[in-house]
Amino acid sequence: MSITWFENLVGKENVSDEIVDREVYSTDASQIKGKCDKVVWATEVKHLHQIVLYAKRNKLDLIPRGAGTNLVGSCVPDNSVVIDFSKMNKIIALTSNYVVVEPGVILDDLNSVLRDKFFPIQPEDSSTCTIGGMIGINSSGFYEKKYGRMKDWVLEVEMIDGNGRLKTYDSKVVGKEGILGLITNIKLKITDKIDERSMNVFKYDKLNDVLSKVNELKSNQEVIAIEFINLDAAKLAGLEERYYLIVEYHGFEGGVRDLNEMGRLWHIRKKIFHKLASNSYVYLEDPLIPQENLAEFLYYLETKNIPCYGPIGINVLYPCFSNREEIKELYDTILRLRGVIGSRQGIGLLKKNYLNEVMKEELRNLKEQMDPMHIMNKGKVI
Amino acid sequence: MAGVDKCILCGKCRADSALLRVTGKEMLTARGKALLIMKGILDKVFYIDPLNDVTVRSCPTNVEISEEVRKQRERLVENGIETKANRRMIDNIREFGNPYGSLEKKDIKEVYS
Ligand SMILES: Cc1cc2nc3c(=O)[nH]c(=O)nc-3n(C[C@H](O)[C@H](O)[C@H](O)COP(=O)(O)OP(=O)(O)OC[C@H]3O[C@@H](n4cnc5c(N)ncnc54)[C@H](O)[C@@H]3O)c2cc1C
Ligand code: SF4
Repeated sequence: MSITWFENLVGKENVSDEIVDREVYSTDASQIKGKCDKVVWATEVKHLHQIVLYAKRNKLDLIPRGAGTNLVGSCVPDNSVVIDFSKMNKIIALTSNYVVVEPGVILDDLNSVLRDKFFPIQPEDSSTCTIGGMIGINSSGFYEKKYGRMKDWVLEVEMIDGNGRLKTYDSKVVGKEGILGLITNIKLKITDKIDERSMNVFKYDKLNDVLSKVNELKSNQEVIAIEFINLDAAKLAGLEERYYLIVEYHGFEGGVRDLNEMGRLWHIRKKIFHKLASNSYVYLEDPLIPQENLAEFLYYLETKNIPCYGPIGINVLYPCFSNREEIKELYDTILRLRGVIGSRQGIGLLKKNYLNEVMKEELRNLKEQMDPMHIMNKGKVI
Repeated sequence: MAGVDKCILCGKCRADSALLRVTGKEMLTARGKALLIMKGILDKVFYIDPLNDVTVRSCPTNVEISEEVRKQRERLVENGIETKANRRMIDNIREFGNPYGSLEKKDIKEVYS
């Protein structure tokens, strides 16, 4: 497939098949390696439309990509054309209850213009992840207990599907990991900034005490985030070796009300991944465990000395590993406890064998309608 | 501080790359450069590296990309791969003791950095 067609359409500066570009777009944060044929830096919807029609005629595989920070291989190419959305990063409209953005907008860039407004989906990597990627994965953040996930805040998504049709959709296209089409424009709900906030940090020596506190906090409507750190993670992070619950309240129920101090507490939580990663625990899992089996799961991690942290308030945990081989046993345990593998950070290539058949069937039907030629993100999810 | 073998491709360093914001090009980020180094791809891209891109504040595994890039530049020069601007700078430093060339020309009124 010649590059000339693309150069004529998007200009030489917005397409490359040079080895340096093909190499750096051959993977993503999953560390799985694929083969990139070309990279196009998206700048205009009309170009993207032409590219989809061309891909249909020539049976090309197109891979939409934001920051490439997904952990499941959702942007790994297979002799594909990677469409990088980093340059489509304009905030188009900001009103009192919604915002319209291009897909390449970085979440923190959006945060910085909101002033007295608030977009409540705040994942850990807000300084890098793009709104398009967050829609692709149906991202979740620290405040999911109260505010839900990305799909709950999407009003409209403009997308060119695999048939080449440019249409506006509701949240039904959220979480589809680029297998239906190229998202070109997004309208998101926003809400009022929370002024009355406070926090608490609870420390425990016994897991049973942690669990009863979590149960109590879950039923408290003021609580908007409950984050857990287990003993192994605390130790590796250089904290006192105890169990931690970091809790945020909407209102002044918590003892910590100073915004700087609250920022410091969140900083400690956000640095856990850094600390674990620098100790070689670089592979992060994201199981959802049913309430009745949460205790058993936490004891299992404990006996295996698996460092773990995460939003226990929604029954999701992030156990971390230094070696992918060790994860198989974790999966067996999650399934035995009737949990969900890959509950928050996507399915991609890594977890597609574990997606349940009902969801797969639903996705296959959508794919048949919206991308019957299978030119969008080949081989992912289903 | 760690070498590129410790890079876990998390992409956190994208937040530090001012050039990325303008160009959208992943190869200008520390992650991009780490991938090229791991693969042994020697390219002029290692000359494009303003200061704010070499100090990776966000890196969870402390990859010291600036040191790695310096080594790549050494290799580039050894292999005779240079940019014109780089060659001119080196010649100027050798001949005049500064990267701009003779100050006799008096055509440099102000210098910003
Ligand atoms: C350190 C770290 C912490 C993380 N923390 C969280 C967390 O707290 N919560 C969470 O949910 N996730 C988290 N993640 C996972 C990931 O970063 C997020 O899911 C993020 O939203 C991905 O954004 P991105 O821009 O990097 O998307 P990418 O990885 O580039 O893409 C993600 C998916 O979206 C698709 N996509 C991207 N742009 C478009 C488009 N324009 N049109 C159609 N499809 C598109 C891609 O094809 C892909 O399938 C974390 C990852 C890391 C490395
Ligand atoms: S932040 Fe560090 S580990 Fe992560 S991609 Fe960049 S260089 Fe690699």
